[in-house]
Amino acid sequence: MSDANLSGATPIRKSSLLEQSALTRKRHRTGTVLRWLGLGAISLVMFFLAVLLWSIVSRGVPALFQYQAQIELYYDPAFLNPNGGEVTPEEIGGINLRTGFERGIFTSSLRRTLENAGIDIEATVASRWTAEALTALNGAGLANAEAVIEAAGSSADAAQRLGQAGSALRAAGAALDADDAEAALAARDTAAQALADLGFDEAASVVAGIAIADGAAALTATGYQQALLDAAGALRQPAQFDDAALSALIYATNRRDVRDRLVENPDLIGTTDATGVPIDISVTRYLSGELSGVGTAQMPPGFDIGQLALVDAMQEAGLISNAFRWHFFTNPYSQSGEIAGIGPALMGSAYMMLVVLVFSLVFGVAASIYLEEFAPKNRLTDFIEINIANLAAVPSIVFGILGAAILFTLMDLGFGNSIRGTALLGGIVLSLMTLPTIVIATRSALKAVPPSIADAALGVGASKVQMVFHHKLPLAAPGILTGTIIGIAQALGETAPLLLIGLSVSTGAALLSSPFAGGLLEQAQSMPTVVYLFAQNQDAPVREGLAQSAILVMLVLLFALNILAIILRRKFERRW
Amino acid sequence: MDDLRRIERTADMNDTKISAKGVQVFYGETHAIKDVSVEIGDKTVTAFIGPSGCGKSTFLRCLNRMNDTIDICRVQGSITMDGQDIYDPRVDPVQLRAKVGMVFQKPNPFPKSIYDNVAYGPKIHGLARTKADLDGIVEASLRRAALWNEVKDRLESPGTGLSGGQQQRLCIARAVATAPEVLLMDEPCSALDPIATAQIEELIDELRQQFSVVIVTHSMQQAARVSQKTAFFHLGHLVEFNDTDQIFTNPQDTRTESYITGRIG
Amino acid sequence: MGAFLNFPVVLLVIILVSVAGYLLGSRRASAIDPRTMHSRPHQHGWHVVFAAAAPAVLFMMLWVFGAGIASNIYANAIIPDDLPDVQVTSQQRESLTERELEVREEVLRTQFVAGVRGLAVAIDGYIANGNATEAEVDGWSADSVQDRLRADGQVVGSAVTPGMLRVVQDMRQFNGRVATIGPVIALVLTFAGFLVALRLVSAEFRARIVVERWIVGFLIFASTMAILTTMAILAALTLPSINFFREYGFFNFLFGMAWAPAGDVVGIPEGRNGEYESVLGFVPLIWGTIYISVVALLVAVPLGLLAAVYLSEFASRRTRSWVKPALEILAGVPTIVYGIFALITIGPFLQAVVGATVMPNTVSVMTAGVVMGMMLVPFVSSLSDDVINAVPQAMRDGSLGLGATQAETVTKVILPAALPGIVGAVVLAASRAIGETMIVVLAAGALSNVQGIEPNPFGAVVTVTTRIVAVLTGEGSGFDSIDVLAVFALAFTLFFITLALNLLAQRMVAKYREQYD
Repeated sequence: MSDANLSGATPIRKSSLLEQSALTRKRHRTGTVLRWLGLGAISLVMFFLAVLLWSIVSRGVPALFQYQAQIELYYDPAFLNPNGGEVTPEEIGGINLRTGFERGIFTSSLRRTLENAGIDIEATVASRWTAEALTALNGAGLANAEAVIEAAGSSADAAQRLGQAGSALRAAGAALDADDAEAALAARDTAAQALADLGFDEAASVVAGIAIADGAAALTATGYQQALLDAAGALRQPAQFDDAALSALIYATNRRDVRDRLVENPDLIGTTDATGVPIDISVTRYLSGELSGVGTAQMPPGFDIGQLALVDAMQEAGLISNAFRWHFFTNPYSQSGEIAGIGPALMGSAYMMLVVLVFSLVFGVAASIYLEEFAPKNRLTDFIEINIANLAAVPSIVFGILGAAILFTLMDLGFGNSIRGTALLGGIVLSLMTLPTIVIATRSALKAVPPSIADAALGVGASKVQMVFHHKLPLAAPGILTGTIIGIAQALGETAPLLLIGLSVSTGAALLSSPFAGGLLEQAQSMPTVVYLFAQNQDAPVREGLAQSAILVMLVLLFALNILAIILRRKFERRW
Repeated sequence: MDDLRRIERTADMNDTKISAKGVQVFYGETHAIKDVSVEIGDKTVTAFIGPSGCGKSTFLRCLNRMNDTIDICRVQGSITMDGQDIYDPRVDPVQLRAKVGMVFQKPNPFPKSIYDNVAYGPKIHGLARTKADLDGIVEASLRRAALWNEVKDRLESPGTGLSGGQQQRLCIARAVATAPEVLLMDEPCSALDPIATAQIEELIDELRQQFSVVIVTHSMQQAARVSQKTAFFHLGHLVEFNDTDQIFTNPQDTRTESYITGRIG
Repeated sequence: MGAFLNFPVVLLVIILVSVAGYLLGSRRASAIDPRTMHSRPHQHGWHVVFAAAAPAVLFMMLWVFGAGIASNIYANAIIPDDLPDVQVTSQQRESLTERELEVREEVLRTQFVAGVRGLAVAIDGYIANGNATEAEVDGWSADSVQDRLRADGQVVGSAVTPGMLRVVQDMRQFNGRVATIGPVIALVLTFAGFLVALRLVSAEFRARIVVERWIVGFLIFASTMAILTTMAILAALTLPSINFFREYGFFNFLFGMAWAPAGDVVGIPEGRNGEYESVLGFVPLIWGTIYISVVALLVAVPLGLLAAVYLSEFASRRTRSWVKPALEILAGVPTIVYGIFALITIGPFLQAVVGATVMPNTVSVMTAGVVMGMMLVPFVSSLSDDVINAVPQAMRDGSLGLGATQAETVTKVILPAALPGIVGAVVLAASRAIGETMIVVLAAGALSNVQGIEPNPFGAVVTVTTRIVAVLTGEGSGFDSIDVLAVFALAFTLFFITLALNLLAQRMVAKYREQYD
């Protein structure tokens, strides 16, 4: 040990402890960066979680409520019993649902209800369109527009006259761009005259003042032509408002139910029944304020401002209510968001969870007991252990492929179709997926039971089977149960495998019969697959609204299961 | 005690390096250290002895504020080093620990090369400007830990591959590489065999020439062999603090006597 | 008799006999002097239960399965070879090769059998609704059957020919016989077991040992379920895949740059030059899969790792106590929820940010990748957390004792020490990303035909899993379609890629753990 070396390692630093050196400050700053990065990462993830949950709740909760038109449903004999006299159930059953019930009963009842509420349907529609026309005309500087329209008498007449003037302007524009100066002058003056005839004097003089040299561009710049044609278009609309347009506002959901009711009880004919009929799902986006109804982009697809005027009037008259969508929990899935529900999906999921519970609990616990307590340490048990570990990490879709292969094989063998899309098949596939989770949980629960208990039991002469079933299993039960519930919660949200074995059918899945009456062998849906269906629906309100409601229900169930697991764990937690 | 190897006790014991007054330590509700006052001299080996759970390690960890890393631990009283209160809010424990190095019970080399283990402290504290500086510090530290000759040809091999005694000497080299003023050793030999223990003890005696060394040990023989001053802890109290010779030959307190004669412990 | 004696009824009888068996068996055993007995009375009771129920239930399960197969074999056997329904018309016959003819006839036969089964189900429903008796059905003629069944609301798929009706009638009679014999045998087994076991009750009979042997037998059977599942998966993936590789060519698949299924029947290439019209190349799909996975990992690994470091080294107990459950919530959300979130929230958001020229659709690599990354954050962070916590406290103390700051301890000591474990966690996350399905199905793109690879991270891609779902969802066409076989080949590769990654990760983590245990 030479002194030269030693001195190199011990620089004399008589620094005060109370002052932070520059280097230490710098080191702490660098450290703070890491801390902030960590905090930032967590904040980002929490923010993501918040946005995720918010996007579900903020869309899903409102979608659980449905706008309904309160209609005095009148079972009109004119449609139901056109010939008068005694009506037979067969006759009612034979009436066309669309023309007879939807138009005949629902639409005319809607019309009647509106009229009783003091709403003049045609006038409401017409005044909205007139306002639209006025906006167009005034926007182009065509002063005096109101008087001009009034002077025309009916909307249709006004539309015609405005349209003619617009056409004259269009003709003038075409002539101004052509080479014939004389014809251009004539056309320009004709157009000016047409405007003057209508009463747009100011505009007429503007048009008359356009020089040939300025050409059509000057005419277009006035905006008269577009405004006149737009206004004419708007004023033409009220005449086209018909029953179909009125009928489109509501979804005659229970027309079939109504028919069935009348078939059962023809005496109802001629009576009135106050009922809530769902508003068309596109219109609900207007009612909820999601679409403003101004401009094409903000218009509910398939609707126009005349219909929205009626909706406004109905709302003002208190005819529209926002009611909780109870039928969402009982109805089957449908392409029509107004009546779509998750009833069969809830049942299907419940049945599948039942299958998973029975199957994976029995087999999972049995397998764990064998591996943990009885299995000799040999190649076979090693192989089983490796298998279980790997099965736990196999992508879920592979289990779906397995299900599909089983299905195809059974179809080749002769009974594939009877099992396709059933809760039984779904449950079995999910069970195979859940099995590793339950085996792992059960084994750790069995491991946690101290060997002293086993020794004590064996010491008083119990057989190994008795030791396990009398002592270990009851002590490990809470752990096993917790693991099972978590496994089931996982299975509840699993989608991909179920898609491959036919649980995502959009039609044909009704409420299931009891499991003892073959309910396990009926076409089923599950919560995640119905969510998938909602997400694929053609209507944006269904995709963005009801899909979130279904997710909400699913998440509530999942959280309930997880909380149950946590409570069980807390309650029975035992430290040895 | 005649069989014990006596060491020369000529150290300059006039300078007080660390002075603790009325120190109380609480772990949550547990009162672990009760009103301990002790003066630790410079260039001296001070041994803390006492039965397990008596608080000697806890007190040791107060001296470089390692207890700060435990959430529920509270320290009261004053501990000064060179007259400066180490629990002053302005004191950065990071800087303190550079001056008060520590060696732990179980050798804990980092899973890095031998060189990197030793160079770790100098690197983070910015003690070396150049690679040559760093090489110099590493070599000097390893020499001081009496490990250089054993590892100089394999500085890049992992520190975890050394034997237990070598690992502990590596940890000592790692601690001295930051040029501390005080070296705390928490039962540094308890995980080692007798030969490795003897090597470490020899090393401690050499280290005394430059550092103030505080060693916690459960072996009275070790305390007698390596230390000039000894503090006996019992149930969180400092029972007796005196020259090592005095403690082992003429204890003032009956508890000390009981302990060194093996009646309690 | 057949109407009343079905398996649910038999099951009920078995349960009743078992209960009776337990009571009788234990009572009989109670009558014996307990000091002379080997087994306790209730063990004798259980023995009777097992003897009565186990063989009968096992038989019932096998019988149901076997009956279905037998019915199918019977139906195939009784189809006359000259039945026009299963003949290729002589006109077509001329333009076909021997092999194609064979395949076509096979397909016709399969379709015919499917029609037969469908018709049988419809007739069963018709009878169950009380519209006709068995005897009446035997007298039906082919032309009226369809209308009759439709009027009752039964689903009749294909047209009913006289040949089909005859086969259906024969098959239903066969099924009826099978359905009667099975339950009878099950009942005989039940009572035989019951009586034999009851007779065995005696002081010397070791009921406990026998019962325990039954139980352990069941335990062993249950523990082989994992092997059976793995073997079933392997068989389900391998057999169709081999068939596909033989038909389509392994290298055509592996290096094919386009994916465009056209629905060819296996064995009948419909394109020119005797090739399949379907183009089934793996490259564009694995490209999409890996692209999205890489994006996901770029999101998940830094975030997950930083979160784990913060939680285990910096966070206060209170922060931990609410961040950890929140991460668990994130981990427990089903992937379809993430998929929909990506589709309706993240996709439009990204499009608004980068513009519609760069990102023509709301579905894209980034849409799916970012959300998948967020999904993987809890996974990465909890695995990393475990790994970081496995680094011994002595390492931290050693570093802190030298005067290192907390951050220096983390970056210079703990993370390097934990690196192998963290890499293992990342590999596991990669395996999850590659096998993830619902997020990509909803948010990556749904093109059914792709050419080459899409380099734009804001462009839509297809992945292995989206193609599997697209082909197999809805009415599956069975193993007859080359596209379906191709999908099995996709799943086959997917399975082995993820398996390899999992095994790799398990090894890495295990090695890492050994280091500190």
